[in-house]
Amino acid sequence: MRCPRCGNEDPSWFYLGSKGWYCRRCVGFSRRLTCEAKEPVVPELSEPLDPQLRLDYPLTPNQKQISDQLCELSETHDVLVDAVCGAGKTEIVMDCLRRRLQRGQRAAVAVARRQVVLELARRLADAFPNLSVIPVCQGYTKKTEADLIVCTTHQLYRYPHRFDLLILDEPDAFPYKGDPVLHGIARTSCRGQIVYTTATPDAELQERVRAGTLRQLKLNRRPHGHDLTVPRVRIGPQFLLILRLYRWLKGKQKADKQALIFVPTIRGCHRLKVLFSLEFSCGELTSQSPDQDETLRKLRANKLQFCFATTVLERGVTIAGVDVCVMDADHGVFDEASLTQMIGRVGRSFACPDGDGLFLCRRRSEQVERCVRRLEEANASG
Amino acid sequence: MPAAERCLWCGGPLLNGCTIPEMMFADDSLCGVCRSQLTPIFHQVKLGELSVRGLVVYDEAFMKMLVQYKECMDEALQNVFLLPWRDKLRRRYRHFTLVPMPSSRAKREKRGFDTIPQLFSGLRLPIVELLEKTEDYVQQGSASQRQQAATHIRLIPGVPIPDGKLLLIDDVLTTGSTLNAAHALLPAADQALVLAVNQRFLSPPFAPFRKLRCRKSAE
Repeated sequence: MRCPRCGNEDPSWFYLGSKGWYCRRCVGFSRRLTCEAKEPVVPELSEPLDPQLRLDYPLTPNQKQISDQLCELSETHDVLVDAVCGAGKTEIVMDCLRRRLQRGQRAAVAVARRQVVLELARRLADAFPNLSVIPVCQGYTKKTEADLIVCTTHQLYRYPHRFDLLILDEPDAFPYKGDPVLHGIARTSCRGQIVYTTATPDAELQERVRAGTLRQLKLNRRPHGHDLTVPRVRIGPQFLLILRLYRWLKGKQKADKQALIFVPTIRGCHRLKVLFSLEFSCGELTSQSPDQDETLRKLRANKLQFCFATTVLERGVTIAGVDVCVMDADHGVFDEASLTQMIGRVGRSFACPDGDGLFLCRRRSEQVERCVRRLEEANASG
Repeated sequence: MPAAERCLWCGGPLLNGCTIPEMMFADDSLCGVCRSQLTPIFHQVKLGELSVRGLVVYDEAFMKMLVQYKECMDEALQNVFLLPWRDKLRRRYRHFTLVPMPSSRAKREKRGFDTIPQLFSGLRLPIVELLEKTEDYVQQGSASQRQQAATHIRLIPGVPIPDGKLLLIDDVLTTGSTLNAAHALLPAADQALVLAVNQRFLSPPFAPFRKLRCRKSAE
């Protein structure tokens, strides 16, 4: 028995209901009977499109080389684009998307996080001005069909056996990482090849690269050519860390720079925001914030100087000229990948290619040290 | 992991978060962690002449489970809600006939099962369907809209009302309008059993300074 949606074959997850057997592993997406007819697997081509690609800046020779290799490799293989944060992964895959759409094939971009979906959809809509590009995620599900779909990995259940090319951005991010249901749904939605793009490939992807089922393309240099920001690590007791954070924010206030302060827990985030609101203009962005989109808009428009955030903002978000501090960087919530992603928010734009990063820890942490080592290695090899 | 050892909600091992007595004696299909998410109440709500007994608080955890059961059509969850109280309730209502609140025919056909009778089937008490919806009225989310539901219920013509005591059963007590309407149609049924009760029917939790606060606000 095999679930037609998530591909589960473990018999202990199946249940015999009144209408027949169904898979309980993915029943949260509504019951899907195993006896229900499967979707046609034969590719149906849509009308060939004439997408015009308009980039803000031309690709650097390195990016161009990776982009060409990707177009070639992704015709036959799943590919992992392992490029450092801010290396322009989205721009690299755009040519590949353009070529597929030109041939009348269907393509989509899927991301684990809703915030990133909205940002990516905006960037792709700017890059492909003559295509209809829509985000499909919580709050944006009225329209689900367009030339190019940008959706959360959860929403892929709407498109079984649909895509000839699926760009899966940040596959090492929660909730996609380690969720067999989302992995199964992504696999079911794609009848062609999957391109994974991340700066921090997890063990599973690395294992697939070693096994030869996934081709890897590496890029360790940002388009502006500057080094990645390596954070300063400061260790001390909690009250000293808060004092140090205060001094750091005061410095940013004087220099009139924006800053993101990552905090491991929602509660901690709220407390720090309340505390520092006494002195600074602060915002707060967690998964429970009611006004997430509004806060992000203010941050981008430079109407909010400091923002306390949980890992919800660690990926896929570009705010020009922002500096980053990670409070309690040794906390169990943060691993090497999330620390690398958070510090990767710094120096992404051509106008501000450098910035300041600070990790505040209560004790030495292996994850912090590995993150720093990874960034130094990337700078050395780039 | 065999299906019998898997928690029906989180999919983890059934023994997660269980106390030793629970491990030895309880026969639950939720692990201790998931069971503790539901807030049990021992509460009798008075709706006019109708007295309603609720089992848990209608909160987010319960709502998620109920949505998976009703909207995602996950029949495996049908016994989960009643299980800890099953034997006690069976003894308590052993002389009663259960009368379920009606659901829309279209939904019943789509699901392939009737949600309310199946939720209470574990009691192994006679269930008689006496009520039906007059049309395929779509139940609404908001409280004011839900009150309209009362006008869409009627007795099924030709079905004899059984002798003896009747117990109205429903999944959630939200506004009480459906149960009140059913009570108006079946005056003999003066008791009801629901799985969850909306917070508005429950007295607020104990607060040491509540009296003081009330007095202050009155001033």
